[in-house]
Amino acid sequence: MLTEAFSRGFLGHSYFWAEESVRYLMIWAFFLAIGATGRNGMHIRTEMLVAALPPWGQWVCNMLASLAGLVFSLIMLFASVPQVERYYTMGMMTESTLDLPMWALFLAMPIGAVLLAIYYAGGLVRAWKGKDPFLPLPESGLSETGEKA
Amino acid sequence: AETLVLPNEVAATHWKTDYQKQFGDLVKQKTGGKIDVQVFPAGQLYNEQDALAALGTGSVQMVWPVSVRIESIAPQTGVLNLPFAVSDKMMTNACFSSGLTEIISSYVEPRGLKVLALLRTADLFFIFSGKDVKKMEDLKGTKVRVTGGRIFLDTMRRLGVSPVSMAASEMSSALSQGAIDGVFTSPAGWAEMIGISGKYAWYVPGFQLATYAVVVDGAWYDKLAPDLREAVSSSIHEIAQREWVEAKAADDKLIEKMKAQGAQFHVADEAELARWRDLAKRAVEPFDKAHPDLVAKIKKLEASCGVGG
Amino acid sequence: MNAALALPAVLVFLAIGCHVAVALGLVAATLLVLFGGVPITVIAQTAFKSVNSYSLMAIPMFVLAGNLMMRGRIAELMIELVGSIVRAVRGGLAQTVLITSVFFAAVSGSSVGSAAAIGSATVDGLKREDYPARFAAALVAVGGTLGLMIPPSLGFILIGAIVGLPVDKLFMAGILPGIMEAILLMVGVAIMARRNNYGHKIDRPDFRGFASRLPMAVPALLMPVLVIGSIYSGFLTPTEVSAFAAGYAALLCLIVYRTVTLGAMWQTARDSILQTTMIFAVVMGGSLVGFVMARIGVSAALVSALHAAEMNHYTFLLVVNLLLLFLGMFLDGIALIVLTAPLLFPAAVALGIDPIHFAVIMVANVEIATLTPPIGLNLFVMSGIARLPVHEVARGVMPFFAIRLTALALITYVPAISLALVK
Ligand code: NA
Ligand code: NA
Repeated sequence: MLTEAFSRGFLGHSYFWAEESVRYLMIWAFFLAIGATGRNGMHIRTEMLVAALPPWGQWVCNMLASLAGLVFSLIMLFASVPQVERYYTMGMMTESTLDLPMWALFLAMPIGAVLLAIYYAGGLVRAWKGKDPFLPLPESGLSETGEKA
Repeated sequence: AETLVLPNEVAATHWKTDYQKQFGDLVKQKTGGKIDVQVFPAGQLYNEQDALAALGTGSVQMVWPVSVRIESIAPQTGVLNLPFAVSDKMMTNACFSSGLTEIISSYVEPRGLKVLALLRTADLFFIFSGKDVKKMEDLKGTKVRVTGGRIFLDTMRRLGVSPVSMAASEMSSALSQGAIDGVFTSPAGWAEMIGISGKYAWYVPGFQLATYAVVVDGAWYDKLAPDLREAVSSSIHEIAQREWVEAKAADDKLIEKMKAQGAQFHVADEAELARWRDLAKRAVEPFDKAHPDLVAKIKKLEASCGVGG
Repeated sequence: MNAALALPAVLVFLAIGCHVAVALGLVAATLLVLFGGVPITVIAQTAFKSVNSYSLMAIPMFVLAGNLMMRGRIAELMIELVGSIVRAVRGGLAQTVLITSVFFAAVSGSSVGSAAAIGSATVDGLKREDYPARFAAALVAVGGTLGLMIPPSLGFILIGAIVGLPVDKLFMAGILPGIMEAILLMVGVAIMARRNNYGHKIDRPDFRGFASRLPMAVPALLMPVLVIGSIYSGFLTPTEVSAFAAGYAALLCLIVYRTVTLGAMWQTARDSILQTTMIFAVVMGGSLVGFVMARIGVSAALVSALHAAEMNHYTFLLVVNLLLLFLGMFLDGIALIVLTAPLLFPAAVALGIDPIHFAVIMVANVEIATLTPPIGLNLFVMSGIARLPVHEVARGVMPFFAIRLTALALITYVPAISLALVK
């Protein structure tokens, strides 16, 4: 991106591929990090109402919230797999200059969905045992500045 | 009844949506309502790239994207987007246009798609805000917003133009701020998005005549009863024939409108045109080398239909 | 009817503690599958497309830049510099905090980032000078919201990406409203400080101290100038500027001030990716809601209902502000934008309201939403930093609401404040 900025500003050239490759890297980074973001307790939610409930109410809400996450991950998975397949049989390439197969780019989504599903399945287990399913997990090593943006 | 889902990404008031609705009416009439064409304008359901990708999943049956889009599926179809690939004269010749459509379709058929027709999008030209371009050399050193494939970009560089990619929504302000010198666009883009702040137009007829490809889900189409298939096919051909003439007339009218507002509109003369064709020939060499069979097929078609240039 | 269920359903999912992205995405996907007659792959493509956007690519780098400036203890530097002069007035440290908030707003994209950076540097100092703890926490929380209005702003980037508006123009539009809000806040603080006799003051401005600190601060002060200047001149796109800002912030913290180690830098980059992922996930869920609203025809129905009601745009803006203030109590900024922007922008444009002006109105509401209980991120952050219960911080914010509502009314009914700088 910086290279593109400089070259466009100073050399009068535009590298179409720079914009594209940054975008594709970000997409992959996003889907790969989506489960990890959960494990670090950084997906945004509000616990205020739940915190005010008696323990059994908390247990129910935590179970439901984890289940909702799991269902959403599975919808993502089942919605994206046929699309990856079709991109594969169609052989569509990404727009303009990079010439990546679309299926390889889109594959990030089902992979992200699986990682998210694993995270929520873990959450469901933690909720079942009566723990808070969404606290940062000990192994995640969240830093002090890891506030939500 | 069969459903034919036909999404587009232009406004509901755009002429492309009109033609799609006319196509729907015609199909309905010819099939006695056995095929129900559902037009989803303005990206309500899908943008065209996504719709194209969804052909064959059962959720979309037809899309009319600009032909550049199918280049991402079959690079050979890029022949449509080469400079001087087609002209109004060639495409209003029924023999040539149906022959070309068949050739293009043959390259996407292995991917489960079919091209039924080619429609006229627009013959594109250069718009500048402060530079009165009258010949090839005047383009040297300019920054121009373009959309286009590799060969087009290569041609631009041969002309000494720095191609800039930018969202359509930003090009008008970029032009007036001087971030770019010009824009390569259609008469409609000129009249509606840029206006008279792009005072100078430089038009090389046929240099980049953009088309829409009418793409259909191949498996779905093949499974239709023969009479229904015939109804879809004849409807789209009727539309295409009419559209090609009407779209050209509409563009001419827009150019006249801009001229009336004080725009300078220069058209390349025969000698200049010959130089552009010569330049284009060199730019398309790599494509010709990569796809000799395709080039031979088209040459043969041009000769047999009597439209060769 | 179906779509009318969407909003309460989202709120129920939020209430039971679902992640915001899940609440949005799950409700939308369910509606699509049950009622919309939409093939399931549409969900995948819509979700994918929402994060496949050039404008959004500015977010990770601006988040990183803000986090680095926060870690790099740049806030202390600014407080000392500004304070050496401004503390000569009554309530001077509070004014210093506000001026520093403006500086931070111009280098950081989020409201929480600004509040956290300034809060940890000033809350204890404010308490030492006998400002009530509640007032101190509220001041920083309110000042932090300027980060959303003054560019760079994640709020404007999101609106630009979702609605399809040029982010550079949105950034320009936020400058004057942001400065106006800051001035109104400073007037308000002056009145509060005088009336309640808040804080200490030094006898006269310490110009010598100011002059000695200035050279050290110049590289940091240069950052907002460079960031806003390069967007304004059109030299760089906002996405390119974000990369530049992150690079410059890294340079400041690693080399100029040496306040961040390489290890801390790595940690900060990692946090920034996770924060970005959180934002993108909400955008993804919100895009599905936006899609389902358009698909089921809610957006179109809303526009025609407005026409049928013959609502003029003054009433419309009043209704929108009330709606956003209400929803803003329960939703955080990102969710508020992704949920309402796809619905409200077409309606606003249909009534002849400039979309850029409307974006500024929306951001002004988002600023307030981060301050309103029960769910206000800046309240939570300051509750943590000032070690006060959330409701105490919220009580402290109360007097500031009058100021924010005044600013909101001015922004809403004087479009020139937003549009004067937009070419
Ligand atoms: Na900001
Ligand atoms: Na709130």
